[in-house]
Parts: sequence; C-alpha cells; structure tokens
Amino acid sequence: MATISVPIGERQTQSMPHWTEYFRWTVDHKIIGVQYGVTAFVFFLVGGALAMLIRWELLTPALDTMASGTAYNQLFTIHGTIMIFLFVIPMWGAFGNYLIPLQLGAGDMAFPWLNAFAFWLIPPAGILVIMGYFVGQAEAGWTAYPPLSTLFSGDGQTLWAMGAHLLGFSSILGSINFLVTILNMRPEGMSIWKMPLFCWAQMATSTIAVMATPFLAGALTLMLLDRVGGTSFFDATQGGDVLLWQNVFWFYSHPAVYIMILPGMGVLSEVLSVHSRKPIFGYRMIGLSSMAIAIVGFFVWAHHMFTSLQPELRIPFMVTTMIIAVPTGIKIFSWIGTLWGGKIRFTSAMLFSLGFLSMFVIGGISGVMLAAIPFNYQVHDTYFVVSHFHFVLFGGAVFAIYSGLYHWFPKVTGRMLNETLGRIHFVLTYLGFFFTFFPMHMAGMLGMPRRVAVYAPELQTWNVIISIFSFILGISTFVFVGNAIWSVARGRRAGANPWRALTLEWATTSPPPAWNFDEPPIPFEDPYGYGTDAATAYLDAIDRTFGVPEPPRPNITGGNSPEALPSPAGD
Amino acid sequence: MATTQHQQSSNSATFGISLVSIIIFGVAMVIFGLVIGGVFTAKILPEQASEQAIATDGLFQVLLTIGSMVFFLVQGLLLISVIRFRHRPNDVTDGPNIHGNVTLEIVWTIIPSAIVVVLAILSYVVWQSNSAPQDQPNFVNGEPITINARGQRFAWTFEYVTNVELPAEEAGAVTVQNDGEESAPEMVSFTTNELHAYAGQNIELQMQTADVIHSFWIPAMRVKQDLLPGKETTIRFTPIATEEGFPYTTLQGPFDLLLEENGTRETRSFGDSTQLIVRVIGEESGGNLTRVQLDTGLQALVDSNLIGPKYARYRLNCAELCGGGHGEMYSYLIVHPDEESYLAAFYDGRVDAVLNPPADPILQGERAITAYACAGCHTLDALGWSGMTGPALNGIGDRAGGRAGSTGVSNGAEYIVQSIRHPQDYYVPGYNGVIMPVHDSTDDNTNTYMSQSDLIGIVAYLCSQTASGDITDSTCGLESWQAENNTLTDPAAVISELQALSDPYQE
Repeated sequence: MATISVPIGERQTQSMPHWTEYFRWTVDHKIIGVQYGVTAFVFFLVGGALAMLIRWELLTPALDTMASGTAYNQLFTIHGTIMIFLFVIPMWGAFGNYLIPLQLGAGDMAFPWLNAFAFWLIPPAGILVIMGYFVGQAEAGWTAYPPLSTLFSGDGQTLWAMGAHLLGFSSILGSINFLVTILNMRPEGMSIWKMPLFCWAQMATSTIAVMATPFLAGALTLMLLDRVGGTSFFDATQGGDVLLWQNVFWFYSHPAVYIMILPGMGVLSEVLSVHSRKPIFGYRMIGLSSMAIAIVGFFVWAHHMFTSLQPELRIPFMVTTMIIAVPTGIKIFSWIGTLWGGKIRFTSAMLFSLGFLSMFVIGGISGVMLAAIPFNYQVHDTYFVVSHFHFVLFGGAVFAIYSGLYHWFPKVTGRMLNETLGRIHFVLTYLGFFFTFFPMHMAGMLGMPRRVAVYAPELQTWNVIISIFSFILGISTFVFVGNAIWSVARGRRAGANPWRALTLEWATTSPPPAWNFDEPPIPFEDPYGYGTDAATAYLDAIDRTFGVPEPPRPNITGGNSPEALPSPAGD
Repeated sequence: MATTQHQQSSNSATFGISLVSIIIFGVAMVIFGLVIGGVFTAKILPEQASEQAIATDGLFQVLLTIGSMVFFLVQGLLLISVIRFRHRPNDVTDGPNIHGNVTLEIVWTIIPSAIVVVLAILSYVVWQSNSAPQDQPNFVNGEPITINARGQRFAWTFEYVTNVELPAEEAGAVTVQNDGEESAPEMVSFTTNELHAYAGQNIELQMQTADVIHSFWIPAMRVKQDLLPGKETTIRFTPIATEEGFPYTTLQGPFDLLLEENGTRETRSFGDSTQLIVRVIGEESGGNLTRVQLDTGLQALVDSNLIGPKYARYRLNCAELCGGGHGEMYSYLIVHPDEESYLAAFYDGRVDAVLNPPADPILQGERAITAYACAGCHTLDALGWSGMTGPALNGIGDRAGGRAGSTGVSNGAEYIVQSIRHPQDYYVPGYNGVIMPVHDSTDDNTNTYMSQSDLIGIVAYLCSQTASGDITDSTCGLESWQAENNTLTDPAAVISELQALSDPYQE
C-alpha cells in the first residue's frame, strides 16, 4: 500500500464558528445541533446534582437531609423530568441535527427554520420546569399520576405540566423535520437500505415521536384543565377516572423509552463497526428491528399498570412486552457478530459502546423479568424498577451518548478528545454505574419501594453501598467535562476522518464548512464496507483530499496511546 | 450450535470455533445459570411467607436461571471478542468483509422467541393460580368475615366486619334508621392500624382509598395491588408458617429490660401502659432470661415469664407515591400461628371491646384512635407511631393548655377538639400547609366522618398523654378531670363535659 504523507492541509484547519454564534437564532443545523447538545448536557449536570441529593438523603433510613417529604418528592420529580425531557431526548435531537444532514450528504435539514424553532422551545420549557421546583409542590414524580398531581399538588405542578407540554411540542417538530429530511434528502446512490444505521434509528425514533407525543399533549391538556379549568377528568368523585391518565400517559411514555434508546442503538451500530474495522453484521435486521421495536412499542404500554389495570387485561400486555425482547435480542447478537473477527480498537468511543452492550443486556433481562406478572407484583414500583430503567437509560442511552460524543467530537470541533482522560472517565463511569444500580435490584426485591425518603432500617446497608458508588459516578462526569473543555481548545487536530469511517459525515472537513460539503459528496457503495480494497481506496482518497489527523504528541498527557487512532493504512 | 458450525466451515479462518469450545461454553453457560438461579433466588428475596410467594419464587427462579444464562452468553461472547479480536499493534488491515449470516440470524430470532413464549405461558399459569378466588376467604370461627383495607395519606386502617351480631339495643344506638325497613342484623365491626391473620387463613381484602392512589404491598407475601379512587379493588393471599417461625411478641408493661448497648448493660423500667414489640432470639441463663431484639436493632434481656404469645410480623408498604409522607405510610401484617391464638390474642378481645365498651373515655379513645389514619403522620410512642409529617403527639396533654391560650379557645380539651375538626385553622407553628383532613361528626356518609363518641374518647386519650405519665399533669383544663391511681375517678363526668365541649358541631 502506498505511504500517505499528506501534510495537514488548509482545508483541514477549518475552525468552529465564533462562540457568540451559539447564543443566536440561526438556521445552521450544525450550530443548532451544538445548541441542543450543550443545553442538554447542562441539564444533565443539574439532574445529576439532584440525583446526588437524593442519594445523600437515602444514606439513612430517616428523613434528615431534606426539610420534608414533599421537598424530597420534588427532588426526584424534577430529576426524572430533567433527565428524560431535558437531557436524553434533546441530546438525541443534538445528534440527529448535527449528523443526519451530514450522513446524507445534505447541506442542511429539510426545514431549517422549524429546526431552530424546535430548539428555542427548550430553554423556556426548562425554565418552567425548574421554576416549578421553586414554586413548590410539583411532587407527583415524572409520571404525575392524578389525583396526587391534580387535587393535591401546588402551582409547581401546573408549571411542570406547561414545561412538559412545550417539550413535547419541540419533540414533535424536531421529529417531523428528521423524517422529511431522511426520506427526501438522501443523495443519489443512497437507497434506504444503504443509509447509515444511525439514520435508520432516527427514522424509527421520529416515527414514534410523531405518533406518540400528541398523546402526551392530550394527557397534559386534560391535567392542566383539571388543575386550572375546573374540569374533572381525573377526579373520581366527579365521575372522572384516574386510569385514564395512566393509559394515555403510558401510551406516550412507553414508546418514549424507545425514543430515548433507539438513537443510542444507532450510535452503537456506527461505533462498533468503525472501531472494530468490520462491516455491521446483519444490516437489514438491525434496521428492521428498529422499526419492529417502534411498532410493537405501541402495544406494551399497560405493563406499567399491572397493579392498577383490570386483572383480565393484564395478560395480553405481558405477552407483547415479552415479544419486544426479541428484536432487542437480534440487535445485541448482531452487534456481537460485528465485533467477532474484527480488529477492535479500544478507543473511548468503543469502550462506551462495549459498556452499553454489557450493561444494556442486564436491563433487557430485568425487563423480561418485569413482564412476568406474578414477579412484577413483587417488584412493581420498587427499586428493582428504578434499577431496570437506569440500566436501560443510563447503561443504554447515556453510555451511547458518551460513545457518540467521543466518536463525533472530532467532527464537531476539529479536535480529538484526550484518550487517557476518556479511559479514566470510562472506568469510573462503568464501575460507578454498575455498583450504583445493580444493588438496587436487591433493595427492591427485599422491600424498598421507590420514591421514599423513609425506608425499612434493614435496607440501609444496600442504600449506603448504592450512594457511595453513585457519588463516584457523579464525580466521573467532571472528568468528561474537563476533557471536553480542555480538548476544544487544546486537543489534537482531528483531520477530516480520524477514525477512517466510511459514512459521509467524515467526507468533509472537521468542522464542516457552511452547507457542509464544498462539492456534492459521493457516498461509498456500502456505509460499512470495511475490509475491501475499494473501501481502503475510498478512505485514502478522503485523506488525500482533506489531509490526515495530526499525529499523537507523546509528550502531552494522553496523546501517546497507540490505540487512540486506527493506524492510517500504509503507515 | 449447528449454525455456528456452519459459520466455522464457511469462515473457518476468521471464526475458528471448534465444536469442543462451543460445547464447553454451552455447558459453562448452563451451569452458571443453574448455580445463580439455585443459590441466589432465596437470598435476594424476602422471607417466603405466603402460598403465593412459593409460586412466584418458583417463577423467579426460572427467570433468574434463564436470565443468568443470557447474561453469561452475551458477556462471555463480548469478553472473548474483545480479547481475541483486539487490535494488534502495527496491524493496519481491516477486519473481514462479512455482512451477516442468514442462518445465524434466524436462529437468534427463533430461540429467544421460543424462550419468551415459554416464559409467558409459565407466568400465566402462576398468575392464574395466585390471583384466583380462594376457598373459605377470611374464615374466622368457621364463617367468613369481611376485611376492608383503607389507604389514607399516610396510614393504613383495616376494618373487620365480624360474624358476631351486635345486640339489638347497641345496634340501634349506632345505626342510622332508614325508612323503617327491616334491616339485616348489625354486625360487630372494629378497626385496627395493623392487619391480623393466622397461618393458613385465606385473606381477601376489599380495598378503598380516601384520597390519592395507594398501593398495598407486603414484600413477604409477594402481592401488590393499587387502591384507586372511585373503585374497590381486591387482593388475595394466604400467609403460611415459615422456617423462621413466629419470633415476635408484645411485652406488656410493667417490665424491666436489661439493655445491651456498646457492650454495656443497663436496666430500664417500663410502666403500666407500655406495649413493646420485640423479636425473641432465644433463652439464656438456663431459661430464666430471654434475649430479645428491639425494632431499633438493640438487644436486651427480659424475664422469660413476660414472653407472651408469639406471632410473625411483616412490613406492609405503600408502593405508589402518595405525597410527602409516602415512605412513612407503612404498617405491619401480624400472622398468628393458628386460629386459636388469633382469636385469643386479637380477635376475641376486639369484639369484646365493642360489645362491652370500657367506661373510661381514655380507654375508649385508645381503641378509637387506631381506627383513624393518624399513625402515618404523627409520632406517639405509646402506640408505636413514628410519623414525621405532622406534629408529634407525645406529651400533647402537657402542651394543650398553652396552645389553647395562643389560639383563643377556652381550654386545652377544646383546642384538641377543634384541631381534630378543623386542622387548617389550628396550625401548630412549623406545620403550615397541613394536609390533615377535617373531621366531621354530623354526616356519617362522608369519608371524613368521626363519630362524636370517638371524638370524645380520642380527646380524653390525648389529654392523658403527658410526659410524666401522670394523667393529672394534663393541661386540658377539664373540671371533672380527677384521678386516683392514675385512673379517672368519674369517667361519666369527663364524658359529659367533653360532650358539651364538642356539641353542637361548630362550623
């Protein structure tokens, strides 16, 4: 193979927009993507801080840190709301916004103005939700079951509902934009079966969001009317029905779980293939299983209601819930098939994807256990459930978010994240995460309900273990924050395609210019066609056009790890 | 396995899996699953104290075994992959250009589908046997009784409607006569804060909530059911005798405890009215002393003759978020070893107290107060309450007079009457925004009804709660409140004085 000795070209040193651009109304999808991402990450830090307070309170079985039970309830209410509506969902909006046009070789989203509008709904909505905390009495949990949320909570609950309403609106607008972009703006030569799997995942996600989120809007509207309009949709004494809320809310909120995890699965499909230098195993099955999850996901909602639903309706939902494990299993086995026989690079991005695989499977197993109704009776609304959904949403979504951040940070900023700090971050997060959430299974089975500040004294040992590791998990976040801040200013120059990946976002400078591509890019015949001479030639051509990454600097901390980059061919 | 062999033959250079290694991996996976399922099922679940628990735990063992195998399979393959297929330094080639394997993909679709179908069928069978109506529910003395569970922020109350007929004249006194129709004989009913049962009794609770959604959960029984506003829900379970037996007992005052704390021993005496629930550990000193454990975890020695009838006790939680005191909304299920001890230690005494009510309003109130959801929010050591949402009731008899002065009512007793009836108008400083419901003695159709006789008893009982234990220290300011040997000398006069104070109902 030919030795490549292209100097770092001028086109490679494209710089990021001036920082003030990020505080402006703009229709550039890349700036909007960063706006989404940074906003979501700030909310992640806020939500994480609330989680630390929750764990601090739970160090003892009595109510001591917080002033009252209601104050404690507000903590987890806002923690859950922020993490779901203001962190995970907008964070996938960030990835979708930044990457979908680039992966499709397009200049921008289909509706750039709508894109900006959808983003700018988020900050006011976040302010409303957080104001709800300070106004007080938004204490009904993120699920906001009436009548606690309607007849017994204070004005904070109204602000909470308005904030959630706006966020749902933003999510619908963003998803419509993704769908139209994906279906209409693919370049010539890229059929839907040649599309990167991240786009497949976003297509499935957006389909769910467009179909399900209006139900959340409906439920929230009824709640707001009950709270301020004098209606009684959920007031049993006036002929209302509390199960109405549960049904409609979960008809959105169960699919919303897939809104939060499917894009992560898309990230995984990209990262695992690129960093093991091997085509994705079973492309069609991965793409189709995303759609299968999206569809079956609409028929499982009442498994959240096994202790409240009419008994005769419980069985059908158990069956559908168990079925949804099958497409998820297909993905997991396909990813292992991808790794098998590859040349696995232990980059930080890859470590987090491997972490996802090993942690998410635990969430999947506990999910099937939860579907078994007799066992569900024991663990419904306990720490077992808390553990389950954190394995899915932290072990799944957050690990995928970190993986994606390490993977695409070079594209966004033009600079590499520090790999040594990345590994420290991974090890702390992985261990902190596992030992925070795994013991919660036991606490739940042994008798700890969720959402309590006062619990049986014999459960204190478990809770102390959980809290200690949760603090480690909390600290690990700052390793990443420090790394990102340092790297954005001082990190190694990434070049256009530091991972030698075949998808189109890498066939332009880092960061990409306005309108992304100076010339219309030609997609490689197969987005995951690693291991062929044609692929090597295609990647070499990109390197020749845009230049190669700055080599690692051994004297600077972290720059000296040999696996930090896949060796460019012909070195 | 056959398909993996297919992989081997088609890509032997890459996959290089021998049949032997597949078999070794498979056997290890099965052993891992069986060991985890076998060893940990019992360890990570609470005591198996109901018939339903046996079936549920059997299902969980299957789930855990299969889940552990899946865990082993995925983590094992992952670990093998990252070790075997790690990037070697100076290797600049890419991995093989393999895009999939249809047979393999079919296999990993079909096998999980088959597993979940089996699990669904198994779960259905267990569900049906656990939730089906049982024979002879709530049988006491050979006849069914009705047990109504009521959730109210933040306490549980259990109403027993017995199969004992209330004498006609008594029934007339408490029944609202409606349109002169001949009504069925009135049954004796009583209400408790704890749920009582005996081993082998099929329990069926009719459950209603007074306010928000609650959820009835006894971890040791493996059952859970929500209480929904506007609906009545049912839960069924059958407590059984467990290997741990019936270790709890109630020490009835007066008694002395030899407390062991940090290696030192200290004798503490408890007075007449004390009831202390302890867990019996075993006899010592040749059977004269018995080692017991308190709820606080401290151990103590007590005279073996004081150990009364024993029972099992299981925590009963609220599992659905119901507000600030959600974590404090717990009670206990008391399981007596057999029906005789259930009758002797619990049932007969409660029925008798309804048929032959004590003359002393303090004793009446002690019973009556447990029929209301006070325990969830208030602390009252004499009854073992530890709620934190509302002000503590310990020593309320000492403070009532002072509070009367600052709230402008005539005396301490009236202050207590008014703050039960209109809690919102009588905030204790620091407890603004109280969620305690009003109590109304005029309309027994409301779920905030408290009969005037209950109210009188409860006020008398609270007036008697002084820090010194001497009821004459009470600051309630009742003229007839005279005592001898710490007992009211003229209970009837106290009742009529309280009657005048609480009558008519003041808006």
